[in-house]
Amino acid sequence: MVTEKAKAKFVDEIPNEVMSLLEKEGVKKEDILFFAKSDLNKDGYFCDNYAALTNENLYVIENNAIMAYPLTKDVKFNNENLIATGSIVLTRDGEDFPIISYTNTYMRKFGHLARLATKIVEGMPLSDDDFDIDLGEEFCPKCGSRLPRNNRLACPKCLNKKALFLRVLSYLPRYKFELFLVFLYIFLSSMISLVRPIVSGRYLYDEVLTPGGRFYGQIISIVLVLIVLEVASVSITILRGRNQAGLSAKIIYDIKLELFSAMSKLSMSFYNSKQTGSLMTRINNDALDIQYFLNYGVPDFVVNALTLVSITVIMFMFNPLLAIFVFLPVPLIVYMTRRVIPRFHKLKWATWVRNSRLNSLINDSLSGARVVKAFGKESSEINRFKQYNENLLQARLKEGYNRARTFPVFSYIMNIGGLFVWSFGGYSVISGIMTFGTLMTFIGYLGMIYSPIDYMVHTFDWYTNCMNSAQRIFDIIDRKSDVPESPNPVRMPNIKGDITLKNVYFAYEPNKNVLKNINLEIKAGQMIGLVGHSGAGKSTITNIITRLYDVDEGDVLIDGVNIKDIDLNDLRSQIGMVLQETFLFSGTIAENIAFARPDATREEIIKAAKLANAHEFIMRLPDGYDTVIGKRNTNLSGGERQRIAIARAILVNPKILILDEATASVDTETERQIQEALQNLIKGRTTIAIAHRLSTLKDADKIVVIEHGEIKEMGTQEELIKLDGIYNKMLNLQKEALKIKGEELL
Amino acid sequence: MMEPSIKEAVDINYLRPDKTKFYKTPGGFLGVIVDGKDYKRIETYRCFPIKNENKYISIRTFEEEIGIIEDLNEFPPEQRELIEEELEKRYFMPKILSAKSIKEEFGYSYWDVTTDRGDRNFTVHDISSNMIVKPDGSIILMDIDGNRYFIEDIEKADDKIRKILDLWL
Repeated sequence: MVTEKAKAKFVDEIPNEVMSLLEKEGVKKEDILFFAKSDLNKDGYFCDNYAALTNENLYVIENNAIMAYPLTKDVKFNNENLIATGSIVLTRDGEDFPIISYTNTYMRKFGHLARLATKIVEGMPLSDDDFDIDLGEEFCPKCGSRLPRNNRLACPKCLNKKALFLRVLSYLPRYKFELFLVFLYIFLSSMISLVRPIVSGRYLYDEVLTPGGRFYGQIISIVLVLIVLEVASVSITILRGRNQAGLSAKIIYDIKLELFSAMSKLSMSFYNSKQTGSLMTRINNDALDIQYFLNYGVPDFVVNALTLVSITVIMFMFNPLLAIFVFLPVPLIVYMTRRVIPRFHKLKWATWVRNSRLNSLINDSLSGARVVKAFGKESSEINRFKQYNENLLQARLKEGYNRARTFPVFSYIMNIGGLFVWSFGGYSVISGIMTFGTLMTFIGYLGMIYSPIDYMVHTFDWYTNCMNSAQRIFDIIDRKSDVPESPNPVRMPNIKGDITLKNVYFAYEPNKNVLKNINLEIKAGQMIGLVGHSGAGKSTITNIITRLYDVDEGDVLIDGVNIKDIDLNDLRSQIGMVLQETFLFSGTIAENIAFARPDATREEIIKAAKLANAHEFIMRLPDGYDTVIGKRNTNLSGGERQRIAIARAILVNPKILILDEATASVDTETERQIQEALQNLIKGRTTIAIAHRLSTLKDADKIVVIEHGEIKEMGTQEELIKLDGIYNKMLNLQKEALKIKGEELL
Repeated sequence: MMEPSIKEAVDINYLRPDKTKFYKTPGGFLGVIVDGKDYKRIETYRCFPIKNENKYISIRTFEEEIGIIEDLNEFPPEQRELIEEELEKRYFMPKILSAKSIKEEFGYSYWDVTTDRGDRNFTVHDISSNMIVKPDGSIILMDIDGNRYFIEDIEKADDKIRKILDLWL
């Protein structure tokens, strides 16, 4: 039975005019099981069409016309995926008819519709479970934009820049004391720089050097006062520098940590879609930008704003007319800033993009050095590099030239104000309206006022830079993992190892199902062999069991508990994996074996290595277990690395073990040794082994043949041989191939 | 089913106009008769969809390849139109004519555009990895759902489009 509540989220979307069309056909709202909107008509034009499913019919509403397709036994419904579009295709009397089309945006929804229709046609009862699915596509409630898939909670477009800025600032309050000191120093140094021109201008000329002044002749005293001010100012600058260096280190530590942990928590799909080079640039440069902004940008902004305001006030107090001359060019400067700065923002971005591309290329080329050399492609790689480097150079030049052209003009405009002060001020002094000391104080302030304005101009630059970086960084930090941890995870510290896959569908890309309706039952302690052509979906099944990815539809149960509800740590700590490509981290062999369990004792490490047939070769190395593995693992052979990986898996003592082509890349002799090691590992664990060499699966309790993402055959080896299907054919082919090599298969 | 021999597996079976006849099924799909053998429903794929020329078009049943059309222009016009129509359906890629608004924020850009297939709202994540720039200056853009959009000539495109894409070119 399907309750109203279960289907409500789909049925509630029916627009009124569509509902009235349906009512004319005699359909009541409560009869409708599923409803989907499409965005395309059959001729390939964007428009709103609809499909509604009841127990009797599939209704299609196109152009205000309604068509009913009865769900009788003689029809079949299929969701056919093209590249960017799909159609529900109805098959009747061996002939296919497309009945409604849609773009990828609605693919999952219509795929589900086709499956529900098929269930009804085949007479299978629907239940609430059929509606408990998350179909992905959602639109921002505020602006109607399509929401990013990985970032469903917030529509980034509707968030504002202010929020972003405040968020960047939120890194600061964690260091209240350091910050307090920074602002204290700022305040003190501003005070000193404000007082200095008064002492060296007004007091020096009007009171000390002018006969009749209050301190006439006391040169030594005024010089001493100036020296004290100078020393105080330098000391404060030093203290502030120290303080800011400390703060800076802590902030960048925070940002990088947050970013790195956010990235580590993301699912594999994130890593597959990003080039590592670009990621590295992102972490390093962007964090640096934010750090600079917080550490220098924000405090300096306060200093400069403070200076600007106080000088302005003092100047207007001394001589308002003269002050007006000083500020005459300011509107021009501000206007230019607003016009010119956005262009810099773009040029900077272009440089960043090209820099990041160059980094990716370097990364690619160095990682693939063997291939490059083997094919003698060094020179073309150099050319490729040259081209990217050239692109970067061009971007940098463009940015630099623009900078070189613009900023001198800025400074010139600012200096015009100075000329006014000299001429008007000089005239005032000569005609006795103003004292010479006041003029000198003014000149002193004049030198101080343009640098804050200049700074403000640059602050915009800095600000945009930082906001760009912040945008990119928060984009990663905010990204919701594709495999979110359940809010109330079920703790399972002792997994038995029963695995059930129920009607599992999965696609890496929206339009390509890699797994279709997989049903698989694995009992605790059993060994399952997965065989099939490459690309059939074998590794995908293991990715789903380890929850590197979440299924699109259907359920994965471990010991009867849905994998999405299990505490991720509990799950992953009890799954061991040995893959074809072994990744060893730079570090010692012992550290690599203990990777997943750093607390393992030396005895445990040696025992694990012995079980993995690795102890012997490790002992032949001069540094034994303390051998440091080179960055690219060059000093160990494939088989040796493989056995270290097996030892790693043994040490975890996993309840579920996954062997993905664990022996594919080694020679026969090594394979035998690894097989022995694996036999030790498999005992008492649920094992899922993927293998091309079928001989390695002869002890499997069940062999599953996968083709095009579907289970084609399943059974023990004898059963499958008796069946004389795909498996038997593969077996015979391998036997023949091995006969040529003179080897015995079974 | 026999395993194909190496030669069969490697050789390209070119479909020539004289032995190949495409026709439309009652449902509007495509069928083909090759050397007298009738394949009731076929699919057409480009081997090089991004290059998007009328060359190397794979004609397939749902299970296997029937053969490859080396150059579609060798076929008579009405046959060619049938296949082109089918290809257009498969590689559905509306052409962006003008943009009403494009906003970028936090690595996502939100496009409100007019295409040759009608108005459309879509969202692109991380333009750099979802854009293909072709040597002729045209651009293919992929949205977060995997839908594709075509910009014929970036030099002649709407200012709004240029403004946002220029950063990545």
